[in-house]
Amino acid sequence: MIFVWLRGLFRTRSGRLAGAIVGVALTIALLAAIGSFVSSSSARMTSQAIAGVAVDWQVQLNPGADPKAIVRAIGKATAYTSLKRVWYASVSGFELSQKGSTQTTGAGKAVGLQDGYFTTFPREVRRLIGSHSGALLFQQTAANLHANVGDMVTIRRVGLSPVRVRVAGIVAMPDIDSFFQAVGLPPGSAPQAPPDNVVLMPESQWHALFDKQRTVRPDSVREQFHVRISHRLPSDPSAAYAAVAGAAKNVEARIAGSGIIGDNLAAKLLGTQADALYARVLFLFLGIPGAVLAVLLTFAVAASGSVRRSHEQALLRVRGASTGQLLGLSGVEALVVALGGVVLGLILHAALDGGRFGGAPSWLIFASCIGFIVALLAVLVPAWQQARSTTVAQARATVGRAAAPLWERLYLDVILLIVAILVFWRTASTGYQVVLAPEGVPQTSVHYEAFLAPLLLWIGAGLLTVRIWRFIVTRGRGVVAAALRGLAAQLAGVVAASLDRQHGAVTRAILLVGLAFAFGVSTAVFNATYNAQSRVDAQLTTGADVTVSGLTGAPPSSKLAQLRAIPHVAAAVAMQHRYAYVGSDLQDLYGIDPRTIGSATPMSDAFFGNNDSQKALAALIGHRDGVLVSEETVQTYQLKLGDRLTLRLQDVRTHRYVPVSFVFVGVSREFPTAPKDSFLIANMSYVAAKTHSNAAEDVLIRVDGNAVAGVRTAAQKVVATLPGATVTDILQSQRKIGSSLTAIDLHGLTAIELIFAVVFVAASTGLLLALGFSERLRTFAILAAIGTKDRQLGAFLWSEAGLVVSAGGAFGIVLGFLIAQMLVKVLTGVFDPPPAALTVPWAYLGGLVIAALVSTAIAVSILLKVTKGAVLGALRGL
Amino acid sequence: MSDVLAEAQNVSRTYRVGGQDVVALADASVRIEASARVALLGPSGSGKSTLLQLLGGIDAPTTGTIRWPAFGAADALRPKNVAFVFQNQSLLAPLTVIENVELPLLLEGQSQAHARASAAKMLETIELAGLADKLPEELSGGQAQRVAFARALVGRPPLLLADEPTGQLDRPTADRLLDAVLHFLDDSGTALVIATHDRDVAARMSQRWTMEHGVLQVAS
Repeated sequence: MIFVWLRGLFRTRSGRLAGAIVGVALTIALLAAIGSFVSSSSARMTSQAIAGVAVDWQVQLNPGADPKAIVRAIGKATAYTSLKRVWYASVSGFELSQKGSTQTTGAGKAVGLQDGYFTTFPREVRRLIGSHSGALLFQQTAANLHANVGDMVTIRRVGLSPVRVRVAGIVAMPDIDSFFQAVGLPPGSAPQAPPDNVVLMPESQWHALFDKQRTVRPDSVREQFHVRISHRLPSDPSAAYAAVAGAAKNVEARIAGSGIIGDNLAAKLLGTQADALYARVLFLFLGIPGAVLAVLLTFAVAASGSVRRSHEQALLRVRGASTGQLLGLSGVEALVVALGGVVLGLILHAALDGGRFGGAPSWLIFASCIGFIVALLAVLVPAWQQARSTTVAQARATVGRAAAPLWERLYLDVILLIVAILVFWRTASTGYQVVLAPEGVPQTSVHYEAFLAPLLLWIGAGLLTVRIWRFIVTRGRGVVAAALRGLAAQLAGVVAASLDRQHGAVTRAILLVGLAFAFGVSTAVFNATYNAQSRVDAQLTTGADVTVSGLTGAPPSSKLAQLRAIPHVAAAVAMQHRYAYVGSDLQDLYGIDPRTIGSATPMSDAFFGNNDSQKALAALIGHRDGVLVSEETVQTYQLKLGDRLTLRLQDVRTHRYVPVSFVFVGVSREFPTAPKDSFLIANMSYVAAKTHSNAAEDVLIRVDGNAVAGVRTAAQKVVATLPGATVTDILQSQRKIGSSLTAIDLHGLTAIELIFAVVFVAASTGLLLALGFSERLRTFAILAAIGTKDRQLGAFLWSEAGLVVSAGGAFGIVLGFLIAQMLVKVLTGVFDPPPAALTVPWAYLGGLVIAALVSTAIAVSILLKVTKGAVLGALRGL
Repeated sequence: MSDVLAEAQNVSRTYRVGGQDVVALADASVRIEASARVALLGPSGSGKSTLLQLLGGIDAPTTGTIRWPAFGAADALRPKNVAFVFQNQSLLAPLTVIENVELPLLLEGQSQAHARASAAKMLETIELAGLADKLPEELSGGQAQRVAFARALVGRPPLLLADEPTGQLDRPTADRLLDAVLHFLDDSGTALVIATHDRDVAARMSQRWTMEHGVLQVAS
């Protein structure tokens, strides 16, 4: 009997079976894609975090420690790949006399580096000009002393007479914070500022100059091992952190107080751990609604056969079939759907994956299990309910005048929406973070209750839609008829009546179409906003699409005209990058032209304390001596708008720091190329006048289209003759900040999700309409038999399809924007800086609407054709 | 208007079933005149439904010709000139009784108000006014068939084709239904061709056509 039933299913229910199988397959493929992406992004974050650390461990030797014993301990605890010795000596200052003037600096450091250090740890020191052999001056020190390659600089040693060294080169130290970190400070301690004045030298030269200082003032000298450990680490950031931190503890235990470890790698992985959690949360927020939608579609497709199934069950029950036998037959159908869905889902995943995300077996198994369960529930539960709870007569019924469901009478939809708003308000107003990752503490946690607001919004808005459309279709039949008059003419009233009696199916279809649209719109809008902010973040780091940086003595602004002439350069603007003392604190000072800066790099409202970039820049325009300072400086110096502020800037002619008076006109939070902590923004013309130099050390370039790489290459050629000039671009920045969350490439997952969204929209419109109509083929046969013309039959189909698509689409688009807005607010921690407004991908949204219309048109056209061909067959049953 | 409503000459209809040709109707020639009362007799599968569908323009013959001198082209037949009633429940489930009955008038292009008024009058005529707002599922078999006749006759078509309309009704119900319908037909002058197994029903018709294995025999 089962074989006969199965053969019958394939012969007469192939469309429904195929639809349910595709629904299960989509569920599996989407879950597997999310899983693969979560796993691969974690692994990518870990590897990028590891690659981003210049020196993994800085092992600081305590006085009297045996270096060989420590090296042995490190070797026993972990398989290290490189190890170099570094010596640090504090110095009282540096001095340079030339052309009758003498420049001096404050205290600094003289560092000795073991031979081969530069090739072993190339990210630690970057040569700007000169060579690597000999004494190398740190960029800022060279600027302070106005030193050039070949100059003789005096180093004032601690407790000893000064010595002179010849400057062999000038270098940048991109990772200077960790290079000079105070090893052994407890977690959470305030970070120590690195020295402004540094000279690096080969170990032999350092020993010749500072071995004596070690004897005289041992407290002014320290020694470290800089170590690169083996990078064969677990792909998950938490596991990698545990492995690295564990190995460091092991070394410390072995050397028993002879040294302590500055674990840069563990610290970096700790930060990545929070990012990985954010990524997981992000993928869940974006992906789970899609998977749930796929499940709902599967249920809807399976339910589209419920009329026929209940007729069949009624016939079987009349002939004495037991509930067990009925369930057995439905079980066969469920098994076919489950197995077919799993196989197709895995094939679909493999096709979509293309090996890009790597395999994630546990996710594949999980997704397959979910798909299998969904298939069984979608087919078996309705069959079981029908078999258990209805009489034969009820089972034959297809339409009726049902009362409002319980949730509607309890106003559950309204309650859920109110709770969603309250939870969201609490989340948005308290600066609450979804992922809690206290700095320096290995424990991270996720506030899963943050999921509540979007979840309740999804459910509440969905139910509210059902309520509204149920009301409109059943109580507002006149309105519906009037709306359909254009499509159905005289039949509008009949069509409206038909929709009224089938309000359950109609509102279900509207709901599903709406959810499909909402999924597509929310994913697309969130993704577009995320990508736009990711670009802003990269621009903040780089400064603009392409940025040329250089020294005051050889400023890139001298090549501004040539840079502007490069093809595809939309705008090029000069910006000064100087330093200024605020009290005793040396801060970066940016001199800008507030009228033109926005033409080369976007001026986000989030950059400024008043959240209004135009007003902040206008304040600078209105005050030639105006300055924007960081929040931290405002707090430290108790500043109020309009206060006078005296800073010390270096006069380029005399190289002396001179007092310059400014007016505090606003707060700056972030700025292109600026550091995260404290910095100043002032008018370029004022800074130039007060420092006697209009040199601008940076040129910010905006590029037309996708020509960033080409412009960068051309810019490099233009500034090739400028000593110390470097060119960076936004693409490099996006790669460089790869371990941070905004640098996660969401393209892979969102591309898949956006494809799924189109499929869902097409399926929820076309497929559901087609399956629903096929259930009513007999109705159309009756209509044809009593004389309904093709265009009149079309009016029935188009009216229903039009209502479902327009109502569902409108609801879905609105809900999609609300969800996207809510996600952006709830996931504020993802964005740096937060977006001022949503970015709307109009092209994709247009594509979504077209997909819905085309699939609907195809479904209706096919049905019209099928109906005409099937009328005779259906009439035989009348 | 011609007195000849429909005329079939040497009409055959062959279906392709399972790769084989099955002759449902072979070389049939008939004529239906205004106000005719025809009983189409024959066992199940003899081709009665096929002949009715050909005469109603729902299907087209494989060979031979069918003309409707009184109505013109085939697309002018339904719903205005030719109406159908089927053996099984053929009401549209989502529509109430009165909405079902007014439907042919709306399909003809009549206004909603006019169609509703005509449908209400029709229901009154065949004593169904009390059921106007019921859904088909809320009706008994006899009531449903009565509504089906009301829907077929509301536009007062010149020709009614009924395919075993009382086949699923008990004798008293079938008799009452037929009485009401024939009474209405006498008033409206509508011709009736009724396919039936029932000799009693056939006895109330003025002509009897017999079908067997697709072959039609016409007797007066």
